[in-house]
Amino acid sequence: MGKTEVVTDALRQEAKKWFALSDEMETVASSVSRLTLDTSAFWCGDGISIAAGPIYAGYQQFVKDRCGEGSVEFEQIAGALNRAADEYDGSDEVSSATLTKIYGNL
Amino acid sequence: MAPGPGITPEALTSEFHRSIEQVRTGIQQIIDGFNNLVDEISGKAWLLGAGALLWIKHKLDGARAGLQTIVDKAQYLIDHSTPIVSLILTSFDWLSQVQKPASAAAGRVPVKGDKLVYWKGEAADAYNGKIPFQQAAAGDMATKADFISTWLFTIAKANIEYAVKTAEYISLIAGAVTQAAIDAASVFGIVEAINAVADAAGALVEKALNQLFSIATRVVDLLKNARDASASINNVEKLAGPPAGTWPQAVNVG
Repeated sequence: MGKTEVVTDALRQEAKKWFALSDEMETVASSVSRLTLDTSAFWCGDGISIAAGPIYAGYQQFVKDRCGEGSVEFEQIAGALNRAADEYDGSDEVSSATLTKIYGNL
Repeated sequence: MAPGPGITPEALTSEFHRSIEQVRTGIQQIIDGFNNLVDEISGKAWLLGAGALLWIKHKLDGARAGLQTIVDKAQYLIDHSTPIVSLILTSFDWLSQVQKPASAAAGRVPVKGDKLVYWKGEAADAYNGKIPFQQAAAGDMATKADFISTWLFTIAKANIEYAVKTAEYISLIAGAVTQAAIDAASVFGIVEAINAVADAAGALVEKALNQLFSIATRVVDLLKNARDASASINNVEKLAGPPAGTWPQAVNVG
Protein backbone atom coordinates (compact mmCIF):
# COMPACT_ATOMS: atom_id res chain seq x y z
CA MET A 1 0.00 0.00 0.00
CA GLY A 2 1.47 3.35 -1.07
CA LYS A 3 1.66 6.43 1.07
CA THR A 4 -1.34 8.02 -0.64
CA GLU A 5 -3.47 4.95 0.01
CA VAL A 6 -2.43 4.98 3.66
CA VAL A 7 -3.49 8.61 3.94
CA THR A 8 -6.74 7.98 2.07
CA ASP A 9 -7.57 5.03 4.30
CA ALA A 10 -6.72 7.02 7.42
CA LEU A 11 -8.92 9.93 6.32
CA ARG A 12 -11.87 7.61 5.79
CA GLN A 13 -11.30 6.03 9.20
CA GLU A 14 -11.17 9.50 10.70
CA ALA A 15 -14.43 10.40 8.96
CA LYS A 16 -16.14 7.39 10.58
CA LYS A 17 -15.23 8.69 14.03
CA TRP A 18 -16.83 12.04 13.22
CA PHE A 19 -19.98 10.37 11.90
CA ALA A 20 -20.23 8.47 15.20
CA LEU A 21 -19.69 11.66 17.19
CA SER A 22 -22.35 13.37 15.10
CA ASP A 23 -24.84 10.64 16.07
CA GLU A 24 -23.91 11.06 19.72
CA MET A 25 -24.48 14.81 19.67
CA GLU A 26 -27.81 14.26 17.94
CA THR A 27 -28.79 11.90 20.75
CA VAL A 28 -27.74 14.51 23.31
CA ALA A 29 -29.80 17.18 21.51
CA SER A 30 -32.92 15.03 21.52
CA SER A 31 -32.38 14.16 25.20
CA VAL A 32 -32.23 17.88 25.99
CA SER A 33 -35.49 18.48 24.16
CA ARG A 34 -37.19 15.99 26.49
CA LEU A 35 -35.99 17.76 29.66
CA THR A 36 -38.93 20.15 29.71
CA LEU A 37 -40.21 21.54 33.01
CA ASP A 38 -43.54 23.24 33.68
CA THR A 39 -43.54 26.58 35.47
CA SER A 40 -45.23 24.78 38.37
CA ALA A 41 -42.21 22.48 38.79
CA PHE A 42 -40.03 25.03 40.54
CA TRP A 43 -41.82 25.69 43.82
CA CYS A 44 -44.41 23.79 45.82
CA GLY A 45 -45.10 26.40 48.48
CA ASP A 46 -47.57 29.26 48.50
CA GLY A 47 -47.00 32.97 48.74
CA ILE A 48 -44.29 33.53 46.19
CA SER A 49 -44.56 33.61 42.46
CA ILE A 50 -41.79 32.47 40.28
CA ALA A 51 -40.62 33.29 36.77
CA ALA A 52 -38.07 30.51 36.49
CA GLY A 53 -40.01 28.56 33.86
CA PRO A 54 -39.24 30.78 30.86
CA ILE A 55 -35.59 31.19 31.87
CA TYR A 56 -35.19 27.44 32.10
CA ALA A 57 -36.98 26.91 28.79
CA GLY A 58 -34.62 29.41 27.14
CA TYR A 59 -31.60 27.61 28.54
CA GLN A 60 -32.90 24.24 27.43
CA GLN A 61 -33.56 25.54 23.91
CA PHE A 62 -30.08 27.07 23.73
CA VAL A 63 -28.29 23.86 24.68
CA LYS A 64 -30.53 21.79 22.40
CA ASP A 65 -29.87 24.08 19.42
CA ARG A 66 -26.09 24.15 19.98
CA CYS A 67 -25.90 20.35 20.35
CA GLY A 68 -27.93 20.02 17.14
CA GLU A 69 -25.50 22.35 15.37
CA GLY A 70 -22.59 20.32 16.77
CA SER A 71 -24.10 17.17 15.31
CA VAL A 72 -24.43 18.82 11.89
CA GLU A 73 -20.89 20.22 12.07
CA PHE A 74 -19.40 16.84 12.97
CA GLU A 75 -21.20 15.29 10.06
CA GLN A 76 -19.85 17.98 7.73
CA ILE A 77 -16.31 17.44 9.00
CA ALA A 78 -16.72 13.74 8.26
CA GLY A 79 -17.96 14.63 4.78
CA ALA A 80 -15.01 16.97 4.23
CA LEU A 81 -12.54 14.25 5.24
CA ASN A 82 -14.17 11.84 2.81
CA ARG A 83 -13.96 14.45 0.08
CA ALA A 84 -10.29 15.06 0.84
CA ALA A 85 -9.78 11.29 0.61
CA ASP A 86 -11.51 11.26 -2.78
CA GLU A 87 -9.23 14.04 -3.98
CA TYR A 88 -6.13 12.15 -2.82
CA ASP A 89 -7.31 9.10 -4.72
CA GLY A 90 -6.99 11.16 -7.87
CA SER A 91 -3.63 12.77 -7.19
CA ASP A 92 -0.96 13.17 -4.53
CA GLU A 93 -1.86 16.77 -3.83
CA VAL A 94 -5.11 18.40 -2.91
CA SER A 95 -5.44 21.50 -5.05
CA SER A 96 -5.78 24.85 -3.31
CA ALA A 97 -9.13 25.34 -5.03
CA THR A 98 -10.44 22.18 -3.36
CA LEU A 99 -8.96 23.26 -0.04
CA THR A 100 -10.77 26.55 -0.21
CA LYS A 101 -13.93 24.71 -1.03
CA ILE A 102 -13.58 22.45 1.99
CA TYR A 103 -12.17 24.70 4.64
CA GLY A 104 -13.01 28.20 3.52
CA ASN A 105 -10.41 30.88 2.99
CA LEU A 106 -7.35 29.89 4.98
CA MET B 1 -23.51 21.77 43.76
CA ALA B 2 -24.70 19.22 41.24
CA PRO B 3 -26.10 15.95 42.59
CA GLY B 4 -23.18 14.05 44.13
CA PRO B 5 -22.38 10.42 43.35
CA GLY B 6 -23.83 9.18 46.66
CA ILE B 7 -27.21 10.80 46.05
CA THR B 8 -29.81 9.02 43.93
CA PRO B 9 -32.97 10.49 42.41
CA GLU B 10 -34.90 7.59 43.98
CA ALA B 11 -33.70 8.50 47.48
CA LEU B 12 -34.69 12.13 47.04
CA THR B 13 -38.07 11.48 45.46
CA SER B 14 -38.95 8.95 48.15
CA GLU B 15 -37.88 11.38 50.89
CA PHE B 16 -40.15 13.96 49.25
CA HIS B 17 -43.07 11.52 48.88
CA ARG B 18 -42.66 10.42 52.49
CA SER B 19 -42.90 14.00 53.70
CA ILE B 20 -45.97 14.69 51.58
CA GLU B 21 -47.70 11.57 52.98
CA GLN B 22 -46.77 12.68 56.50
CA VAL B 23 -48.30 16.09 55.82
CA ARG B 24 -51.47 14.47 54.44
CA THR B 25 -51.83 12.25 57.52
CA GLY B 26 -51.04 15.14 59.86
CA ILE B 27 -53.67 17.41 58.36
CA GLN B 28 -56.32 14.72 58.88
CA GLN B 29 -55.17 14.21 62.48
CA ILE B 30 -55.38 17.93 63.18
CA ILE B 31 -58.92 18.13 61.79
CA ASP B 32 -60.07 14.97 63.58
CA GLY B 33 -58.35 15.96 66.82
CA PHE B 34 -59.89 19.42 66.82
CA ASN B 35 -63.38 18.05 66.07
CA ASN B 36 -63.01 15.45 68.83
CA LEU B 37 -61.94 18.17 71.24
CA VAL B 38 -64.98 20.27 70.40
CA ASP B 39 -67.24 17.19 70.76
CA GLU B 40 -65.78 16.35 74.17
CA ILE B 41 -66.34 19.88 75.39
CA SER B 42 -69.85 20.12 73.94
CA GLY B 43 -70.75 16.91 75.77
CA LYS B 44 -69.75 18.53 79.04
CA ALA B 45 -71.17 21.97 78.40
CA TRP B 46 -73.89 21.43 80.98
CA LEU B 47 -71.16 20.97 83.63
CA LEU B 48 -69.49 24.25 82.80
CA GLY B 49 -70.68 27.69 83.76
CA ALA B 50 -71.57 30.39 81.23
CA GLY B 51 -68.36 32.30 81.95
CA ALA B 52 -66.22 29.21 81.41
CA LEU B 53 -68.04 28.43 78.17
CA LEU B 54 -67.46 31.93 76.90
CA TRP B 55 -63.72 31.65 77.68
CA ILE B 56 -63.63 28.24 75.97
CA LYS B 57 -65.39 29.54 72.87
CA HIS B 58 -63.01 32.47 72.62
CA LYS B 59 -59.96 30.20 72.95
CA LEU B 60 -61.26 27.64 70.47
CA ASP B 61 -62.09 30.28 67.86
CA GLY B 62 -58.55 31.59 68.06
CA ALA B 63 -57.11 28.08 67.91
CA ARG B 64 -59.24 27.17 64.92
CA ALA B 65 -58.01 30.24 63.01
CA GLY B 66 -54.36 29.47 63.80
CA LEU B 67 -54.69 25.82 62.82
CA GLN B 68 -56.51 26.78 59.63
CA THR B 69 -53.53 28.91 58.54
CA ILE B 70 -51.04 26.06 58.74
CA VAL B 71 -53.48 23.49 57.37
CA ASP B 72 -54.13 25.70 54.32
CA LYS B 73 -50.40 26.09 53.75
CA ALA B 74 -49.86 22.34 54.08
CA GLN B 75 -52.76 21.56 51.77
CA TYR B 76 -51.31 23.93 49.17
CA LEU B 77 -48.05 22.00 49.39
CA ILE B 78 -49.83 18.69 48.81
CA ASP B 79 -51.75 20.09 45.84
CA HIS B 80 -48.56 21.41 44.24
CA SER B 81 -46.20 18.57 45.09
CA THR B 82 -46.41 16.37 41.99
CA PRO B 83 -44.38 18.55 39.57
CA ILE B 84 -41.50 18.77 42.06
CA VAL B 85 -40.73 15.13 41.33
CA SER B 86 -39.93 16.04 37.72
CA LEU B 87 -37.72 18.89 38.98
CA ILE B 88 -35.73 16.39 41.05
CA LEU B 89 -35.46 13.88 38.20
CA THR B 90 -34.58 16.53 35.61
CA SER B 91 -31.68 17.84 37.72
CA PHE B 92 -30.19 14.32 37.55
CA ASP B 93 -31.07 13.81 33.88
CA TRP B 94 -28.98 16.83 32.84
CA LEU B 95 -25.96 15.01 34.26
CA SER B 96 -26.64 11.51 32.94
CA GLN B 97 -28.18 12.40 29.57
CA VAL B 98 -26.30 15.57 28.66
CA GLN B 99 -23.23 16.32 30.76
CA LYS B 100 -21.75 12.81 30.65
CA PRO B 101 -22.29 12.05 26.93
CA ALA B 102 -21.22 15.57 25.85
CA SER B 103 -18.11 15.30 27.97
CA ALA B 104 -17.41 11.81 26.58
CA ALA B 105 -17.87 13.10 23.02
CA ALA B 106 -15.48 15.99 23.73
CA GLY B 107 -12.93 13.50 25.03
CA ARG B 108 -13.24 11.41 21.89
CA VAL B 109 -12.93 14.20 19.33
CA PRO B 110 -10.19 12.67 17.18
CA VAL B 111 -6.63 13.70 17.72
CA LYS B 112 -4.20 13.04 14.93
CA GLY B 113 -4.00 9.24 14.88
CA ASP B 114 -1.12 6.95 13.95
CA LYS B 115 -2.07 6.72 10.32
CA LEU B 116 -3.09 10.32 9.95
CA VAL B 117 0.46 11.51 10.72
CA TYR B 118 1.23 10.82 7.06
CA TRP B 119 -1.37 13.36 6.11
CA LYS B 120 0.57 16.57 5.53
CA GLY B 121 0.11 19.87 3.82
CA GLU B 122 -2.37 22.70 4.01
CA ALA B 123 -5.47 20.52 4.25
CA ALA B 124 -3.99 18.58 7.17
CA ASP B 125 -2.94 21.81 8.88
CA ALA B 126 -6.37 23.33 8.40
CA TYR B 127 -8.02 20.22 9.81
CA ASN B 128 -5.70 20.01 12.80
CA GLY B 129 -6.16 23.70 13.49
CA LYS B 130 -9.92 23.33 13.74
CA ILE B 131 -10.18 20.27 15.95
CA PRO B 132 -9.52 22.04 19.27
CA PHE B 133 -12.47 24.39 18.69
CA GLN B 134 -14.78 21.44 18.11
CA GLN B 135 -13.52 19.77 21.24
CA ALA B 136 -13.95 22.99 23.24
CA ALA B 137 -17.51 23.47 21.99
CA ALA B 138 -18.51 19.91 22.97
CA GLY B 139 -16.82 20.46 26.33
CA ASP B 140 -18.78 23.68 26.74
CA MET B 141 -22.04 21.74 26.33
CA ALA B 142 -20.95 19.53 29.24
CA THR B 143 -20.12 22.63 31.31
CA LYS B 144 -23.49 24.22 30.58
CA ALA B 145 -25.32 20.97 31.39
CA ASP B 146 -23.48 20.79 34.70
CA PHE B 147 -24.43 24.40 35.45
CA ILE B 148 -28.15 23.93 34.84
CA SER B 149 -28.15 20.63 36.74
CA THR B 150 -26.65 22.37 39.75
CA TRP B 151 -29.18 25.19 39.58
CA LEU B 152 -32.14 22.81 39.36
CA PHE B 153 -30.73 20.56 42.08
CA THR B 154 -30.34 23.47 44.50
CA ILE B 155 -33.95 24.50 43.92
CA ALA B 156 -35.11 20.86 44.22
CA LYS B 157 -33.32 20.53 47.57
CA ALA B 158 -35.02 23.66 48.89
CA ASN B 159 -38.41 22.24 47.86
CA ILE B 160 -37.63 18.97 49.63
CA GLU B 161 -36.52 20.86 52.73
CA TYR B 162 -39.78 22.82 52.64
CA ALA B 163 -41.80 19.58 52.52
CA VAL B 164 -39.73 17.96 55.28
CA LYS B 165 -40.12 21.01 57.57
CA THR B 166 -43.84 21.24 56.87
CA ALA B 167 -44.19 17.55 57.72
CA GLU B 168 -42.26 18.00 60.98
CA TYR B 169 -44.40 20.87 62.18
CA ILE B 170 -47.69 19.40 61.01
CA SER B 171 -46.85 16.21 62.93
CA LEU B 172 -45.95 18.16 66.08
CA ILE B 173 -49.16 20.18 65.90
CA ALA B 174 -51.23 17.07 65.13
CA GLY B 175 -49.73 15.36 68.17
CA ALA B 176 -50.63 18.28 70.42
CA VAL B 177 -54.21 18.52 69.13
CA THR B 178 -54.77 14.75 69.37
CA GLN B 179 -53.46 14.70 72.94
CA ALA B 180 -55.68 17.64 73.89
CA ALA B 181 -58.77 15.81 72.63
CA ILE B 182 -57.81 12.83 74.83
CA ASP B 183 -57.18 15.05 77.85
CA ALA B 184 -60.51 16.80 77.39
CA ALA B 185 -62.30 13.47 77.95
CA SER B 186 -61.91 14.20 81.66
CA VAL B 187 -63.69 17.29 82.91
CA PHE B 188 -60.59 18.13 84.96
CA GLY B 189 -58.46 18.10 81.82
CA ILE B 190 -60.52 20.58 79.83
CA VAL B 191 -58.70 23.77 80.78
CA GLU B 192 -55.29 22.19 80.24
CA ALA B 193 -56.43 20.72 76.91
CA ILE B 194 -57.68 24.06 75.67
CA ASN B 195 -54.52 25.85 76.69
CA ALA B 196 -52.46 23.16 74.94
CA VAL B 197 -54.40 23.56 71.69
CA ALA B 198 -54.17 27.34 71.93
CA ASP B 199 -50.40 27.04 72.33
CA ALA B 200 -50.08 24.65 69.40
CA ALA B 201 -52.22 26.90 67.23
CA GLY B 202 -50.40 30.00 68.43
CA ALA B 203 -46.70 29.72 69.21
CA LEU B 204 -46.07 26.45 67.34
CA VAL B 205 -47.90 27.56 64.20
CA GLU B 206 -46.05 30.87 64.27
CA LYS B 207 -42.71 29.10 64.56
CA ALA B 208 -43.67 26.83 61.65
CA LEU B 209 -44.73 29.77 59.49
CA ASN B 210 -41.49 31.62 60.22
CA GLN B 211 -39.33 28.65 59.29
CA LEU B 212 -41.29 27.94 56.13
CA PHE B 213 -41.14 31.60 55.20
CA SER B 214 -37.37 31.60 55.52
CA ILE B 215 -37.08 28.60 53.17
CA ALA B 216 -39.42 30.35 50.71
CA THR B 217 -37.27 33.50 50.89
CA ARG B 218 -34.20 31.43 50.12
CA VAL B 219 -35.95 29.98 47.07
CA VAL B 220 -36.83 33.47 45.88
CA ASP B 221 -33.12 34.35 46.09
CA LEU B 222 -32.21 31.19 44.19
CA LEU B 223 -34.67 32.03 41.49
CA LYS B 224 -33.41 35.56 41.28
CA ASN B 225 -30.07 33.92 40.58
CA ALA B 226 -31.71 32.70 37.41
CA ARG B 227 -29.82 35.67 36.01
CA ASP B 228 -26.76 33.43 36.42
CA ALA B 229 -28.41 31.01 34.03
CA SER B 230 -28.73 33.76 31.46
CA ALA B 231 -25.09 34.69 32.08
CA SER B 232 -24.10 31.09 31.44
CA ILE B 233 -25.89 31.12 28.10
CA ASN B 234 -24.34 34.44 27.23
CA ASN B 235 -20.88 33.03 27.81
CA VAL B 236 -20.29 31.97 24.22
CA GLU B 237 -16.50 32.17 24.18
CA LYS B 238 -16.38 28.54 22.97
CA LEU B 239 -19.22 29.02 20.50
CA ALA B 240 -17.67 31.28 17.92
CA GLY B 241 -19.96 30.34 15.03
CA PRO B 242 -20.30 32.26 12.80
CA PRO B 243 -22.64 33.73 13.82
CA ALA B 244 -21.20 34.23 17.32
CA GLY B 245 -23.06 32.21 19.90
CA THR B 246 -23.47 29.20 17.64
CA TRP B 247 -21.37 26.11 17.11
CA PRO B 248 -17.91 26.84 15.63
CA GLN B 249 -17.88 26.23 11.89
CA ALA B 250 -14.99 24.13 10.61
CA VAL B 251 -15.88 23.41 7.02
CA ASN B 252 -17.59 25.04 4.10
CA VAL B 253 -20.60 23.19 2.93
CA GLY B 254 -21.23 22.72 -0.78
